[in-house]
Order: sequence, then structure tokens, then C-alpha cells
Amino acid sequence: MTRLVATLRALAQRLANAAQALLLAAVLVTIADIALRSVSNAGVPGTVDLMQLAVMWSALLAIPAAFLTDEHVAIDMFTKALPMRLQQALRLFALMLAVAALALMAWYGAQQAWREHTAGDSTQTLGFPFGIYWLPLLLGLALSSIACLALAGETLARLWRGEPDPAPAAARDPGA
Amino acid sequence: MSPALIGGLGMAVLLLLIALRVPIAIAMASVGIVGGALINGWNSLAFVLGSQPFATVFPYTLSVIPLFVMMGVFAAHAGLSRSLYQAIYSLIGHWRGGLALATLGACALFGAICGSSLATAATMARVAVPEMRRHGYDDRLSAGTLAAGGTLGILIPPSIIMVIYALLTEQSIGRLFLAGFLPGLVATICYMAAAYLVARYRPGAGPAGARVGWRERAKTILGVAPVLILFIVVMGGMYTGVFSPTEGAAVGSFGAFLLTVLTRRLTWRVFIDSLKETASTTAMIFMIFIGTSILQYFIETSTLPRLLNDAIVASGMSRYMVLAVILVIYVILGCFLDSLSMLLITLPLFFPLVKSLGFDPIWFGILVVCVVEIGLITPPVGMNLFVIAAVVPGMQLRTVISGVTPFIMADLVRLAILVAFPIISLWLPSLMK
Repeated sequence: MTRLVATLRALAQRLANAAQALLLAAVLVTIADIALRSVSNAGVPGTVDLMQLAVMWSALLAIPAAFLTDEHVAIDMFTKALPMRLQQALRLFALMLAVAALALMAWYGAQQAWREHTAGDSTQTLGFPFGIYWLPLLLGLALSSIACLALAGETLARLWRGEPDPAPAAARDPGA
Repeated sequence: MSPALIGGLGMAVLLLLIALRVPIAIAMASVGIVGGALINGWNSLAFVLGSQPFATVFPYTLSVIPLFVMMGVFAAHAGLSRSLYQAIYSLIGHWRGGLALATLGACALFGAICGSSLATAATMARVAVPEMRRHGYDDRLSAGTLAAGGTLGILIPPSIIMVIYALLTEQSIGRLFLAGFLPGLVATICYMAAAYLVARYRPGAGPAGARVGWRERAKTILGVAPVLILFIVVMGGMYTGVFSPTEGAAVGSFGAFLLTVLTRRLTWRVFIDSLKETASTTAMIFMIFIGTSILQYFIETSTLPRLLNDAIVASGMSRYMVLAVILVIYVILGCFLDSLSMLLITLPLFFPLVKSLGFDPIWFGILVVCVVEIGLITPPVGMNLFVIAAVVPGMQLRTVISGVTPFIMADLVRLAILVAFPIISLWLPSLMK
């Protein structure tokens, strides 16, 4: 199970890094748009559509990696003094909640995405089908749910064998 | 059970789940799902689960977040902290406590291109603490200065937390950024006064440094030019309407990337690390947004915000008393919650109330950012305290906590000033076209 989690972690991190390339590309397109606008009246068409697309893919495909590296914001000040097994049981509970919540959002999101796809919804400027905006959200939620399930399996195995968890990632505050 | 009672119980369960180390985004989504199903039934909830996460992360205005995150990440890697520190030090380093004052000034300038408090604290600590130790500064003063100075990163624009407040409350990002400028200056002055008083009244805490000649001063001040240019281009572009906030953020992130190239700090490792940090920070923020979107549906349908409003009106409290209560709640919550979650959990309840009391939303936004800043330096979960203890070799957490106390006092004085004189926050936005 630990090997499966390690493999998933490496894959998810590569996926997240690759998705950032889209964000960099969108930055360059935006700079080109501003530069063109400053010398002529015309800019790069569809910059807004492209930026939205890049942000959706870059942000949402990074969510599974953040679960696998334990980076999503959680407060451990009340639990870190508890016995190891109780901490692991609480982690298992948190992961199962995550599996359920993420899977529900992915499932009902997929149904909504399908409705919009069949209605032929598309973006205003470049006419991109809405499906390519929905895809990173659905992938991000579904892959995160799978990642949490794998982590839950790993935690359960450790709990069963009485092994301690590896040191958690340093706490971070994304808003700060 | 009435919807309001379910709403109240839901908020209690939310705090319990957070205390049990459930990731905050998941805690919010789970409470939203169960509470929403209890109040509105499964069909309504299913529609919200399907549509709300997408509706939350799709808007173009959200693009500004990863771009400002990226700007901050590259700015932290660009090695500008030393030149900022040297420039301010050359001007005031010979005063008593001058190194601490220089550190605060450099934090304020660094905050002008980096919207992250943690990055500001960590980056400046690596430069300033060795210097302060070399000059015999008390570790408490050094650590307190750095932990407090770091918080200037989120008050002085651009600021990620301000962007998030603006998006949640449908305020103009540009106006909020402008509103943060003078309060940022007031905060810097208050912190400098606190550091000066510590150096003055605690003998040996902050001895004076060597005086620097005018030629050297001019040279070091020139080193600050790239930072000022980037700040002026980003803020000026947004202020004059040449850029939208998203475009300003794109220009800022590109500019910070260029600075990393120009200072020869850009290696393949730094590039990949920067992408990784941007990805994980953005992912955390977006996941919390998704969780909040489900929680918000539950809170709104529970009628809790309206009941809270009615209860406060019925209590006969003056509007400033209500504001004081809200700010005290924020300060207390800041001791236990991270800044983003605190904002996202409380704004659906407090913002409608504040608006109905006739307070300016931009001004309230600045006050909220100020109390969030206080939360960053108050134990037990003040993130900046941990950052300083982690990045400075041999620095104990208790030393940081003890050192930051005078700066918390300064924060409270500053908060009182900003509440008493809203014009400090609202004057610059009133000039915006």
C-alpha cells in the first residue's frame, strides 16, 4: 500500500507541475495581449477564455497532489498530543470523509457537466466547449477521492500493524 | 428541528471536525452536505453538489489568485531581500534598534511585491537575523521584529487574502489594494515604534549599528529600484485602468520571474520548486473555495445569517459595539484557525451584518485583514511564529512568542487607529477612477 501511495504521489506531482506550464503560457499570452493593445487597438483574441482554461487546469489538477502530500490545511494542535493509534484512527475518519465528499461532488458534477455538454454550451469568444473547463474539476475531484482512498488504506494498514505515521508535512496557511 | 437549529449545530460540528484534524475544506464540504440534505432534501443538495463547485472555481476573476501566488513565489526566490534590507539599513541602521527598524522597512517593501506573509517572514529572516545576531541584538527583539514584519506582506498590496476577501464579498480588487496602502504604512510605523521602544527601554536589546556614508547610501538605494518599478507598474497599471487585476497579476508574476532571471537566481531546481509551490498553494485555496461553496449553501438556507442580524438589532447594541465584538471574535479565532478558513467560515455570517449596519465593505475588508494579521502572530497557531522558529537556527518558539508581544500591542493600537479614522483606508480608493 505504501508503494502504491508513493507511486500515486509521484504521478500526481508530475501532473500538477505539468499543469503549471499552462499557467505560464497564459501569462505570456496576457503579456502579449497587453503589449499588442498598447501599440494597436487589437489584442490577442480570447485571452480571457485562455486564462480561465489555464487556471482551471493548473489549479484543479494540483488538488490530488496536495492531498497525497498532506498539504491541505488542517489544524493539528488539539490532536497531536493524543496517542498514536487514536491519531491514526482520526486520520482514517478524516480520509473517509474526504473520499465520500469528493466522490459525491465528482459524481453529481459529472451529471451536470453531461447536461451542459449535450446542451452544446460553449465560451463566448473562442467557442470552446464547456466540457474542457469541466474536465479538470471532475478529474481533480475524482483523482483526489482515489488518492484519499489509497491514503486511507495505508493508514488502516499502519493502524493494524501498530506502525507510526511518517512525519506530517509542515503546516501552511495558503491565505498568508 | 428548525433550519436555524440545524445551522447552529452544523457550525458546532464544523468546529469539532476542524479540531479533529479533518482538512478544513473537507470539514466544510461534509457539514454542508449533511446539513444541506437535512434542511433541503437530497434532490436540492444533489443539484448544488453538481453545480456549485464549478460555479465557484470558473469565474475569470479567480485567475488573479494563482498569478499573485506565482508573483510572490518568484519574488521570494529573486534574492531581493538583501538589497532591500541594506538600503533601509544604510539610512537608519545607526539608530538604536536601527537594524530592527531596517528589517521592518525591508519587510514593508518586500510586501509590496509579495502578497504572502509567510514568504516575507521566511525570506527576510534569513537575511536579517544573522546581521542582528552579529550586532548583539536580543533574539527576542529579532524574532518579534521578523514575525510581525512578515505580516506586512498581506496588508501592503498586492495581497492574496485581500483578493480572496474582494472575490467573496464582490468588491473591487483594485480599490481594496489601494485601501491597504496607507494602513500598511500606519502598520509599519506602529511596528517601528514598538521596536524602537523595546530597544530604548530594554538595555542592550538593540544596539546602534555603524553609520553609513551618503555615497554608500545612494548605491544601496539604487539596488531597490527593480522592486519599486515592479510595484509601480503593477499597482499603477491597475490604478489607471491600463490593466485589469488579472492582467496586473500576470504582469507582476512575469516581472518577478524576470527579476529572478536578472539576479541570476533562476536555476532549473528553483524553477520547478516555484511551480510546485504555486501549484500546491493554489490547490489548497481552490479546494477550500470548493468546500466553502457547499457550506455556504447550507448556511444560507439555514437562515442563520438573518437570525444573527435580527438578534443583534433586537439587542440594541450600537453598530460600533457590534463591530468591536466581530473584531474580538476574529482575534480569538485567529489564535486557532488559519487566515483563509477563518475568513471563509465567518464572512457568510458577518459580512451581511456589517453591510446592513452601514459600514463600508472596503474599510471592513482592511480591518479584517488587520485582524487576520494579528492571528498570524498570536500563539498557539500563529503561522509566522513557527516560520521564524523553523528558518532561524537555534531560535526557540518561546523566544519568538515572547519577542512578538510588543508587536501585538502595536497591532491593537493600529487597529484602534484604523477603526477611529476610516479615512486612512478610504481616502486612496476615493481617488480611483
